Amino acid sequence: MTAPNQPNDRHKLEAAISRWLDNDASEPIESDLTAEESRHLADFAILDALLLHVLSESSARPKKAPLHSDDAAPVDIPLFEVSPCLPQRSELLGGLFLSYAAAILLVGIGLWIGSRYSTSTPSENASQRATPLATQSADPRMQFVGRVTGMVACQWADAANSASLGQSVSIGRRYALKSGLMEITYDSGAKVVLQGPCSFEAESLRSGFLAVGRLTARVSYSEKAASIASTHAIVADSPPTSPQDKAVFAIRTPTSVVTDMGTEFGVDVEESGASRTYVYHGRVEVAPVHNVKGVQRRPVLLSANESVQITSDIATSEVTDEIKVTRELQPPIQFVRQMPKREPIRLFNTGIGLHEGDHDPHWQVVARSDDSHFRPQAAVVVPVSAEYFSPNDRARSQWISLIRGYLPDDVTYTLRTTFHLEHSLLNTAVLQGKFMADNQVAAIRLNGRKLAVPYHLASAPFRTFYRFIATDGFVAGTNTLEIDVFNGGAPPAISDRRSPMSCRVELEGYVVPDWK
Amino acid sequence: MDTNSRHLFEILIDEHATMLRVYIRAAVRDWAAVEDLFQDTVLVAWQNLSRFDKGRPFGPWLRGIAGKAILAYYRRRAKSVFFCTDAMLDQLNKQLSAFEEQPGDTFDEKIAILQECLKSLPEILREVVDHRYTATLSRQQIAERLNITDHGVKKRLQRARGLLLDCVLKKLAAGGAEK
Repeated sequence: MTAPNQPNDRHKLEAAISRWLDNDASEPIESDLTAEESRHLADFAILDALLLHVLSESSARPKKAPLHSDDAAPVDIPLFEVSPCLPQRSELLGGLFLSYAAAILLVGIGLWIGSRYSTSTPSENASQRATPLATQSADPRMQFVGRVTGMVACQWADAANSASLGQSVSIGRRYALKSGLMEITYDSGAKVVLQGPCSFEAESLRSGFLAVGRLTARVSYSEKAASIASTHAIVADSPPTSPQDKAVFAIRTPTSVVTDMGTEFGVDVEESGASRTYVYHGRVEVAPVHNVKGVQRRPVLLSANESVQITSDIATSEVTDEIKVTRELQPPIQFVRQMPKREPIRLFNTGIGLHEGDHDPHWQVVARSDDSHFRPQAAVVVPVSAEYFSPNDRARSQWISLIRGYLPDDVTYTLRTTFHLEHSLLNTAVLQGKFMADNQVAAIRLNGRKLAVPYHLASAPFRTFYRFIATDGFVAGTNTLEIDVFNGGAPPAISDRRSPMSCRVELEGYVVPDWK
Repeated sequence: MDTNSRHLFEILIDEHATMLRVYIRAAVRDWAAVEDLFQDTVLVAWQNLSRFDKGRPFGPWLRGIAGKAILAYYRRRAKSVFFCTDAMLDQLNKQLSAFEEQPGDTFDEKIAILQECLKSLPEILREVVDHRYTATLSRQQIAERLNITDHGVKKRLQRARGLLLDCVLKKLAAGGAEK
C-alpha cells in the first residue's frame, strides 16, 4: 500500500480524510479520489472507527452520540439482541416486521443478484464539487486586519457568525458575542478583548466599531507595529479617526470615536448608544460624533485614571460644548484587561507522598457491592509485587486498596476522591486521568455521571496506565470522582475465593477562572 | 432453521458484533445509520444462513453483507458520488481481515496492537486524541479547551493518525502484538 506522492494529490487526500473524519458527519463526501486514494482513506477510516471503539466505547457501556454532533449529549442506544430473540423479535415487532421484511428484501435483492452501485457522471461530479468549494474559499477581495488570538467560553448571538481561535479577521467582519471573551490581535499591534454580550465590527487595520457592550484595547506603539500599519492601505470608507498622524488605533461607538496613541483603555457602550471610556495607561482622545441640539462638542483628551461619558440624551439646559472628564479613584472593575489563562485544578494521585501502609487522606473506599452497610474509610497504600505490578512511586502515585491483604473476589469496590472548583468557568474544565487496576475498572463517574472507560485487560501484569477524560459534568463547589474496581472474576466465580484488590490513579486537570 | 443453527448463529454474531460495528462505522458517519445497518446485516445474515459456507470464515461473509447494505444505504439517500466505493470497502475488509488474523480470542484482544501504538504516541498528540475520541469533542471544542487554533488541532490530529496508522500497519506486517 502506498500513499499518493504528488503534493496536490496528498493535499487533496488529506483534505478528504480531515473532512470525512472531523467535519460534517452525515453527508457523503463527493470525490474524485482514485481507487488507491480511496484505499488510503479506508485505512484512516478503519483507524478512526477502531480509536472510537478502543477509547470511547465498550460493549459494557452505553453508546455515545455521534462524534460530530457538537450539541448532542451521550445517548443510550440499546444493543440489538441477536437470537434466541431473532424469530421472536419478528413476532414482537408485529406490523413493523412487514416493513422490515420489505427492507430486507430490498437489501437481499441487492445482495444476491450481485447488483453494483454505479458512480455518477462526470458532470454530476463537477457540480457537486462546486458547492463546498464555493462555501469554503475565501473572497479574494477580503482584507484581513488581524487574527482571533483568544477565546474563552464564547457563546454567540448568531451561531452562523461564530469564530474560531486563529481565524483571520477581515474588514467588515462582525462578532456578536452573547457571553464569553474573545481577543483580536490586529496586525498593527493593537489587542482588543471583547466581553460578551457585545457587538463589534473590524472596520480597518486600525479601527473597530463597538455597537454595544464592552471592550478593552491595548496598543503597544512600536516601530514594528507602525511599519506593519503603514504597509496596509486603510480602506476608503474607513471610519473617522483621530486627526493625529501617529494614531495607532481607534474605537468608534455610536456616540464617540476613541483614538489611542499607545496605551490601554476600556470602552463600554450601552443599548442607548451612550459610551463610557476609561484610560488605564497613556492618553486617548475622545471625540463625540454627533451634535447635540445644535451644539458641537469638542474632543477631550483623557489621561490615566480618567473617564468620560458621551451620550446624546442630554437635557437642553445641560448642553455645552465641553464634555465633563471624571477623575476616577479606582479603576473600574467591569473591564477585562487580559484573557484569563487556564489554571491547574488541585487534584491528588493515589498514595502520592505517602508510605506503604499509610492511609490516603485524599482517597476513600466508599462502597463495596457485597455489603450494603459498608461505611466509607480511607484507602490504604499497599505494597505490590514487582513481578506483576508497576512498582509504587511515592513521588508520583501508588497502589491503594481497602486493606493490606486479600479481599473477596467478584466484589466491586468504589474508590472516591473529591476536588473543588470555585469561581471557575465550569465549561472550560478538563480532567484527565489514568489508572491501573487489579483486576478491572468497571466504571468511572464524575459527579454521578459515567465517563468512558477504555478497554483494558483484567489479568496480570498490571503495568499499563489506561486513560480517561472528563470535559463536562463539573459542578461549582465539591466535585466527586468515583472509580469502581472489580476484584477477581477472570475464571468462573468460586465461593471463598479471595485475592488482592488495588488501584492506582493519576489525575491532572485545568480550568479557566471566572473573570467576573 | 433448527435450534443448533440458531445457537451457532448467536455465537458467531456475538464474536463478530464489535468487528461488524467497526466496519460499518468506518464507512458510515451517522451513528443511527450504523445501528440500523448493523441490525439489517444481522437479519439478512440470519435469513441467508443456509447459504453460508461453514468451511470459510464468518467475518468476511458478514462484511460482504454489510458492504452491500452500506452501498444500498448510500444509494437510497443520495445520488452523489461519494468516496465509499468498492475499493474503499475492499480495503476496510482487507484491514479487518488482517486484524482477525492477530492472536487473541476476542476482537479487543486482536486489536491490542492499536493500544500498543497509542502508548508510543507523544503526549502532545495523545492529548488531542483523547479529547477527540474519548471525550468526543469537535475540533473547535478541542481548540478552545487546549487554547490552540483549529488548524493546530487539525494538524495534531493528522499527525497522530498518521503515526498510529504507520505503527499499526508495521505491527500487522511484522505479525502482531508484542508479548
